[in-house]
Amino acid sequence: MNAFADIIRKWLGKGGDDADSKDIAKDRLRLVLVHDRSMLPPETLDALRAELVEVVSRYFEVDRATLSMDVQRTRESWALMVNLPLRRARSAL
Amino acid sequence: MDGRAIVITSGKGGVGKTTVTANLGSVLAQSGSKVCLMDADIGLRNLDVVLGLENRIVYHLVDVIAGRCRLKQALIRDKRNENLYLLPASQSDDKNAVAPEQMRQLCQDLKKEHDYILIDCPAGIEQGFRNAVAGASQAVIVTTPEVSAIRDADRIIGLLHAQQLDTQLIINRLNPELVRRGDMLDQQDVIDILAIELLGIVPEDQGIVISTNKGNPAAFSEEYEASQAFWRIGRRIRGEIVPIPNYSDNGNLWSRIGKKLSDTFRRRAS
Repeated sequence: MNAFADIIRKWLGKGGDDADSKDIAKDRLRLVLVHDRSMLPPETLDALRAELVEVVSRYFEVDRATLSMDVQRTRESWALMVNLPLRRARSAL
Repeated sequence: MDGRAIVITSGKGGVGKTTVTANLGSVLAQSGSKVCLMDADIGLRNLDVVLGLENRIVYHLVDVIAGRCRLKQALIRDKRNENLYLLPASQSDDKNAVAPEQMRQLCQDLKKEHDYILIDCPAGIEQGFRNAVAGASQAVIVTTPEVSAIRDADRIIGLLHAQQLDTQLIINRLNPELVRRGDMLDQQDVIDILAIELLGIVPEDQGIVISTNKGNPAAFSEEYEASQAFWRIGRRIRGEIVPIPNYSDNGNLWSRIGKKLSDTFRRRAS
C-alpha cells in the first residue's frame, strides 16, 4: 500500500521541476545533522566514507556513489548507519 | 504537594516557546491544577507581557535568589485564573546572576506549592539554557517545521538526552495548506528526523497574534483553532490519552489526485 502511495506521489510531483520543496528540506537536514551529530568536519566525514568503501571493496563489488551515511539517535545511544548496496561478492568472481 | 517541573525549550529563538508556555499554563490551571510559570529568560523577560501581567511586577526571580524578598512576594497571581502564577524574570540583571544549583533549589521550593512548574527557557545553549534546565525533571522541545528550527532542536535534544531528561516535542505553527502542497515538512517527517516522542501539534493561527496583542493567551478563549490544540496537549500532559490530528493523511492524497487530474484535463481541453 505504501509503495503504491509512493508511486502516486511521484506521479503527482510538481509538473516540471519535480521534487516537493519539503523533500529538499528533508534531504538537506539529514546531511546537516550527520555533521552536527557526529561533530566531525566535512573532510573527516569524506575520509571516513572513502575508507569504508575501500574496506568493503576488498570483499564485495560496490558503487562508491551509492554509499549513504546517517547518524541516528536512540534514547540511550548514537548509531552510525551506513548503507552501501552490494553488486556481488568478490569470491564469486 | 510534589509538582512536576517542565522546561519549555527550543534552541532557536522565535519559534513560540513563550506562547506555548503561557497557553499550556492557562490550560492546566483551567483544568484545576495549580501552576507556576517561570520566566527563565533573565535580562529579556517576555512571559509577563504575553500573559498581560506586566504592570503587576514588584519582585522577580533574581530578587528571590538573592534573598531580597520571599518567594511568595515575587509570585504574581493571574487575573483570570486563581490557580495560575507567574514568577517573572529580571529585566536588568544578566544570565550570570543565577547559578544552576540555585535554580534547582528554587524549583524544589515551587514544587511544594504547585502541581506544575513550566519553565520558559531562553534561546541558545549557553548559561541561560543550563540554568533553565537545571531544576527540570522533563523537557518539552518546541520547533516549527523549518530546517533551521529543526536543526537547533536536534542539538538541544542531544544535550537533554545527555542529562537523562525525559523529552517530548511540540510542532508549532504547522500550516496544513503548505503541508498538503508538499511545501512544508509534516509531522512524520519531523519525527523521522528528530527521533523523539510527539506531544502535540499547534497549527498556524492568526488568533495567536491577536491574543498576544491583547495580553490574553488564546487558550482562555475557545474561538481559536490553536487554543483547541493547546487544550489537547494539556490533557496529554495530565496523563489522558488524546489522539493527535494528522495533517497529512490520505484525504490529502486524494485531493491532490483530483487536482492533478483536473489540471491534466484542462490542459487537454485548451
